Amino acid sequence: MAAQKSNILKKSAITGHKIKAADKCIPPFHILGKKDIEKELSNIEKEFGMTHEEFHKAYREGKIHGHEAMKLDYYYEFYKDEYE
Amino acid sequence: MRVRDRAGEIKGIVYSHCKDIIDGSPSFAINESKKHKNCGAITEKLKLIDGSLINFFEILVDGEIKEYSYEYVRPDTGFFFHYQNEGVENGIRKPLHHLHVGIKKDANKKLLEMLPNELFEHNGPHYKAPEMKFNEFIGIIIGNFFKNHRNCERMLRSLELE
Repeated sequence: MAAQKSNILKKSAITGHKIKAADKCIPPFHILGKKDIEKELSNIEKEFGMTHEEFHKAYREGKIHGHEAMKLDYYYEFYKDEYE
Repeated sequence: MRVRDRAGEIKGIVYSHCKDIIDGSPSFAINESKKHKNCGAITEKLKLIDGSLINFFEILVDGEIKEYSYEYVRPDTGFFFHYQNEGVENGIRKPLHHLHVGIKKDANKKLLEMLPNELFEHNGPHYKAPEMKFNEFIGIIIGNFFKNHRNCERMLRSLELE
């Protein structure tokens, strides 16, 4: 979907007041589907050198930390719950 | 709140209050559970005009932010700070809302050799921290790393931080 210039008024999340959208083009959200999450999960082996299950166990045991680890573990659990 | 509504709020903060320091046009990636209503996650890597990065991640359960990870990284030095709520706590060893501060593993090797181990990646303590809101997090960055920006005060006011 192409980015669109938006002239509509948007509500500030903070003040609740309507504000003019920035003149910067605001692209639409990227909705992650099954294949997108599989692609994310393929980073587990690349970045941590583990299988998905080993990674999940290590993360839950507090042996792995960090933003990326948290995100990948979430995607691991989401994938199992949603698609398996 | 739906996941996409929360993502819209975050986009609003970024595009309406902080656009002066954002490089590019972040779109935000969201995944929404089809099994559980108002459950999912939002993620984005925001590049700032000085080359620094914000790694953003939130997990929503039943329309509420259950876990979050807001990380600021300066690739030139490897310096980072990282506010997190991973949804688990272990007393004072790992408070629910906590902060990490350190240097990334891919920073200059000579620099890493001179630093104590506690400053390497997440090896240091989980510093107890208040629950962090994203507007406050980005306000910390603006107030400290963009304090000479001509619109610094305006951005902080619009984020309701001054």
